[in-house]
Amino acid sequence: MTAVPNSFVFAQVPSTAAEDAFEFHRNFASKDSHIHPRIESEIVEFARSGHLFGVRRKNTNDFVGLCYVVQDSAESNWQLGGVTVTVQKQGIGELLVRFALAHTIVYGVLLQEGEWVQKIFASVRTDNHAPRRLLTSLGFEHSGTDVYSYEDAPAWMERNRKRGNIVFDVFTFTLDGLRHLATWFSERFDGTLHPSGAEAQIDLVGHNRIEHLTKALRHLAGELDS
Amino acid sequence: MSEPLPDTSMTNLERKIHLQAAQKKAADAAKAEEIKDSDFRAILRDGHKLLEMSEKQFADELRVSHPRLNRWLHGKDLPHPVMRPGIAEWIAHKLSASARNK
Repeated sequence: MTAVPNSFVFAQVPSTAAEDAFEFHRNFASKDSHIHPRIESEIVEFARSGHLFGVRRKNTNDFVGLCYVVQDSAESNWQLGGVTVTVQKQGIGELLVRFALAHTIVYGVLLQEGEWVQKIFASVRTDNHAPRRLLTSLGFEHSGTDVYSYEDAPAWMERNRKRGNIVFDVFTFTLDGLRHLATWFSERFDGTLHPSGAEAQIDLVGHNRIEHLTKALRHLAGELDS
Repeated sequence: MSEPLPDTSMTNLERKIHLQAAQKKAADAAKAEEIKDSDFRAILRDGHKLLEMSEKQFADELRVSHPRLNRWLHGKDLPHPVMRPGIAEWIAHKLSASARNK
């Protein structure tokens, strides 16, 4: 059966697709100074370690969205970043981030006895307004700021250094966000994007289906209130 | 508890018996709502060894990252119990195909 044009597949990006993912990321990051331009080896490593999530058109396999949820070491917190979507106003970015959060939470060990043992955060430059509404609507809350001085700014911020200090707002995913995430997958997600009605297929590890992901999230959310 | 795994001196018949036993164990576990830590790890380890794949090959086919599979195999962490039957089902499927080919 031929897939209809407006069908999208949300999945971990396998290392075999890392090169395509990097091209997608590079094209996007070169046009948007708010995106941290990752080098190819970083994107390859994110894919190899299972922390790169993508959306592709089902009929062409072309990327239309990408993000990562990564940590510096096995014990550190997780950073959501690199959210890039080329098809606008279809809810792709929102579902991609929800999927990446859910995937990271159910396949890792981020919660113990109803408390985060590893948090998920996102850093957003103070002059970048676009992602804030999405983050807060998904259950992130502002939790602080990171300031990089001219001298300390990492190399990738080179093009912004002239402005002096570079300030990031840090948003942290909350337990309420987890409750909302579980409810959303359980009660709102029907396998389509809104408002377009395009099919949104979610691919998971092994023979797992979206019902398993939803159930695992419900269990975790239920443990918060027990 | 995991069955003793076949060594290289085993006959094809013995290996096939091991494959079938591991396949049944994984298939039975896949019908459950959840799988206990020790049972899941045993299914994963048996699957990995009996399918005669490297960890990387096994991870690629399962579509999980190699570091994550390594952590699951060696007890550093595990997926949520609800996600385990789907993985056991996949292992049962692969073992079944492998047993047919022996």
